Amino acid sequence: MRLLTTLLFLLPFSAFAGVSLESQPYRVVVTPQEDGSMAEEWKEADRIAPGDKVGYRITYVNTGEEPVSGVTINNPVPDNTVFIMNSANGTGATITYSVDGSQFAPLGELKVLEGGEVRPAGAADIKSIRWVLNDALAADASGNVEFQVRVK
Amino acid sequence: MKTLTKTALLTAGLLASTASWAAGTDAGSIISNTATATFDDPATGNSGTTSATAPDITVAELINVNVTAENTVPVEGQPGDTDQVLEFTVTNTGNGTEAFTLDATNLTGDDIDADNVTVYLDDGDGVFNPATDTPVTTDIVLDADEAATIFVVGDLPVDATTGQQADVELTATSATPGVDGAAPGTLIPGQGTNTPAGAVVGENPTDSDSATLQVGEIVTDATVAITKTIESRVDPFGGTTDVPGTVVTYLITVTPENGPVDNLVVADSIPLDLTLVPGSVTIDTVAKTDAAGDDEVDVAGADVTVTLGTVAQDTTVEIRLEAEIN
Repeated sequence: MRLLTTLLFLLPFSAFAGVSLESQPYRVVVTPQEDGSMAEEWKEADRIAPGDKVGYRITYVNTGEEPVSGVTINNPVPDNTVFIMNSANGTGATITYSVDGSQFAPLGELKVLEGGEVRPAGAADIKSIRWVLNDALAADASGNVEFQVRVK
Repeated sequence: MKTLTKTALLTAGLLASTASWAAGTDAGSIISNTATATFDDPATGNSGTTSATAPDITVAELINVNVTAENTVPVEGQPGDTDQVLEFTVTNTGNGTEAFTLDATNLTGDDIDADNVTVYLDDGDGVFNPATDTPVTTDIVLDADEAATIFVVGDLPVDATTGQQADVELTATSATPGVDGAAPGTLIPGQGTNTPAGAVVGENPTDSDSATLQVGEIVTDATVAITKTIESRVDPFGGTTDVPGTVVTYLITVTPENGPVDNLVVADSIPLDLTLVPGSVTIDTVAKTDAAGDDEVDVAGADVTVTLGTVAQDTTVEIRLEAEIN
């Protein structure tokens, strides 16, 4: 009976609107190419050691039957890592950052108060990343966003 | 596992930032990551929340070591000097406890080799002492970021000459099986310290540095040159023949060489067929008494003792005494 109540409580929401997320880590390996460019490979996230780059890819899916709007994905920078500047991306998403976890702004507008002086935020100051999808997400539609950190 | 490739031109600055990471996050640390999404349902006006946690990453052990010679100028010694000390610092620049094999060798291309090269682990006082420091016979184990003071001790060959140098190199190499000779980035499964993620060979799984022992300006022990000559003879007849009654004046010179000397004592014994003329002893033409204790000269029978004490280098002291032929 209790189970049924719980299911009923969840039902209206899961039946008509829902977004599921999946987050997957990768070991990011950069290797020089013959033409002088760098190829970035996202490999299995084993054997991660200090100094290595880790890429997280977050996949979102609208599992409901109706479009949803205002999809906002927040991801705090994991402990023991430092955000890698300009590594966050996501098609159709506006990306902002936070140095305190609560206020978000474009990177160029972020400032840090340190030792009584205000300075522009650096990679080590970034505590959280936010993606806001510009358009509504249709039923069954999916996409992904990603960012990279370096293991301290 | 799918591998995705994307090409990106990276700036030099980004690459440079990867250059050096001391120790870093401890081996075995867990990196967790959770993303949260919020959204609105236009049909109902409700908002929802969902989250996803990525599989945890367990940090592998990164194996790195640094060896730095603390003697940046040659350490000078004399030929044959033993236990000449070169100081090194060995630092575990990896992120886990690691054993390192130490090896000290004479380098080629220099003048001489140090003999009996031995590696010692400092007992913590930073000063080499063969009685309290331990010769290294097994691998040394260092925690992440821990540094050890290592003394490489050797002898200078007895036949070495001034200015000759012996370059001695200390090498520290991770003792983890599979590390030696492996390229940076190589994963050694099952070998990580405190981590199931294995060990990863860093940029410097082995490191070396060298320092130099040098033979300094050779310092020779001070010596004393001594001469004894007959300066004059005066016989009873005013001549210079050796007959009974002839008075012989002896001149003894002493000269310290290669340095000053202390406690210099000159002893002379008058031969049996001669007798010292009482009160005849002079030092640098200054008369001295035969009595003991009042000046440098003490005469006891046929034995003359002149206590000069400290005499400077290349200073010649002249001692004269007269004896009569019996």
